[in-house]
Amino acid sequence: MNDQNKDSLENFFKKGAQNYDIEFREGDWKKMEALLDSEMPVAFSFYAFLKKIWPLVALLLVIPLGWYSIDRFSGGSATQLGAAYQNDIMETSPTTTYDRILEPQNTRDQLSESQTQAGQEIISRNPGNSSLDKIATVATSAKMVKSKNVIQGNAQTEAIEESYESGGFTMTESNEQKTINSESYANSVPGMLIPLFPGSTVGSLEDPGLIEPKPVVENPGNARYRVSFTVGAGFSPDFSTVGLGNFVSPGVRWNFMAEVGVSRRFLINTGVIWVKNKYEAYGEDYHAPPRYWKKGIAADEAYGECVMLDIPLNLRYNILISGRHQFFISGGASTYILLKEDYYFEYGVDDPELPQHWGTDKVSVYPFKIVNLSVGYQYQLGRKGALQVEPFIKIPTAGVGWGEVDLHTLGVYFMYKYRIGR
Amino acid sequence: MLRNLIKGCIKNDRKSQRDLYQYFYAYSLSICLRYSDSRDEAVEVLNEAFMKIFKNLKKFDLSKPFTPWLRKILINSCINNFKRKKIELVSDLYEEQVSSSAEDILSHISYNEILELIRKLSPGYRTVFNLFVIEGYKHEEIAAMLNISVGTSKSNLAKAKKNMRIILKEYFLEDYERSKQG
Repeated sequence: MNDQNKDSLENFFKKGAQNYDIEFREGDWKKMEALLDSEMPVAFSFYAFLKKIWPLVALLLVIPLGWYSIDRFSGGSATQLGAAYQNDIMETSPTTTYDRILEPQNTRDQLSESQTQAGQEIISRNPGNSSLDKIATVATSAKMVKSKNVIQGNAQTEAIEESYESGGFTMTESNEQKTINSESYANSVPGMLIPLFPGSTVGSLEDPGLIEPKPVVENPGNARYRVSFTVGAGFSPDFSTVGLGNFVSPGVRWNFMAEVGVSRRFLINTGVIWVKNKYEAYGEDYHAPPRYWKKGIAADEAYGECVMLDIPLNLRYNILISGRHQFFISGGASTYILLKEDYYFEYGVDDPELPQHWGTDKVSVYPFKIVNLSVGYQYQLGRKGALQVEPFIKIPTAGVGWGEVDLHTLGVYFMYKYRIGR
Repeated sequence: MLRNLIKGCIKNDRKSQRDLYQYFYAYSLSICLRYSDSRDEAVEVLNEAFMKIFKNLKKFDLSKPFTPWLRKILINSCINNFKRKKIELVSDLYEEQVSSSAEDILSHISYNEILELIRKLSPGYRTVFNLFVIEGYKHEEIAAMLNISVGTSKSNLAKAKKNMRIILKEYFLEDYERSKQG
């Protein structure tokens, strides 16, 4: 017996043993399951149950809260008047009478006080009658003004909310109506008498001796938006996946952002997001460079861990602005800068000669290869601060990383934002 | 994906356990079949191995490849099964030399036929043959696993190979005669 024959025998059996073609038998699993049931019975876990249904729970919480907010704040509650939490700032035309009438400091104090009181006044414009062009309407917060000319929905309310800003009381404009706090307004104008009777209106006052307000706005079209600047920081879990659904343990995203409000509704934001993500890819989804795999055997699975910077450029649109609440959608593109990549491979065959790991610290850049989509909710904490929750998805338009994987990412940003300047 | 399945198994999630079992079923059973006398016995060993796997997954380092760890447990289970049967690694009925070239005659044998051939070896020889030829263990390792001396391991392997050649010769002789009759 020579060595060649010995080797042939060994090689034959070694190779032959790997060419198995065994079909799964359900019966064998049933036996396994019976063993598991006897030795490792499954206990009900409330945590596991909650973890499975958390998206539904979150949705059920968000929807009623959203509706509650819309109902409460856009339904005409003028008590928000004077609240100093809008980050959108409207600046009235210099020709607007109120700018000249109201003394900023006084107004602020009075406004604050008046918030706790019932009286409020709504001044409407009636373009069809020059003498009654400006009508002051007094109502109580308990009794919402029902006149068609007084409150007609969000647009007016939002305008009201925007009317106050530090340093002065600024009337805002909608096309048809102006709303101010009656007491503030009255007190701020020496000699001006504004009736504070609940439900009464200046325009309909029986006593013609009461004041007729001076023209409110001479040129409503001059209202313009003052650009706002906001910075923020936050984090998000990072659920990266190749082929939606193959999530591994979450990574993390630390987000440092800057935002420019170019109008009440539109904002542009960018920033730097430090990301550590983890994902798995099946062999067919993982495109290692040609000739990398030894013996022509590609990995069945690749497990990746990457550190990178995400540089987003997004446009945000505020769908709803209501009091302290803003609901928005956002979209844009991201540039990924990969700082570190590590991949571990699994094979269908057990061969120690096959590569088990590949890694690099070499930086690679993927400019604007990722589409960002998100929805969000922002809650104003004060005049400048705000909290924001923003679920997002990132959709690749090209392969990312050494394995050129189509890396989708899901997550939710929790952020604190702070408006810079006025 | 695999790591997700492993994490589910650690949490004793039945679906993850089933998926992991199914994912490695063919690979695992192919190992157990080589060490067992029958399929039923192989499945028994397979399930015993998977029970160990499910119980010990918490100890598994997720940053390392899973398959070698699984394979090690499977082979240990096969060896434990072999030890339970208390097979002596001494008997040897075959001494005949076979000189035919294995390469010539073995090129068209299926996996099941290979399994059938291996099963014709006595359990003691079969175990050493499997561990050395197919799994790639060294005699020192085999000796430690089976609680035998290195010399016994070498001797059993040599005898296993001799016997295998006889088995192969008989197998192909039968095959040849069948084809002549046909």
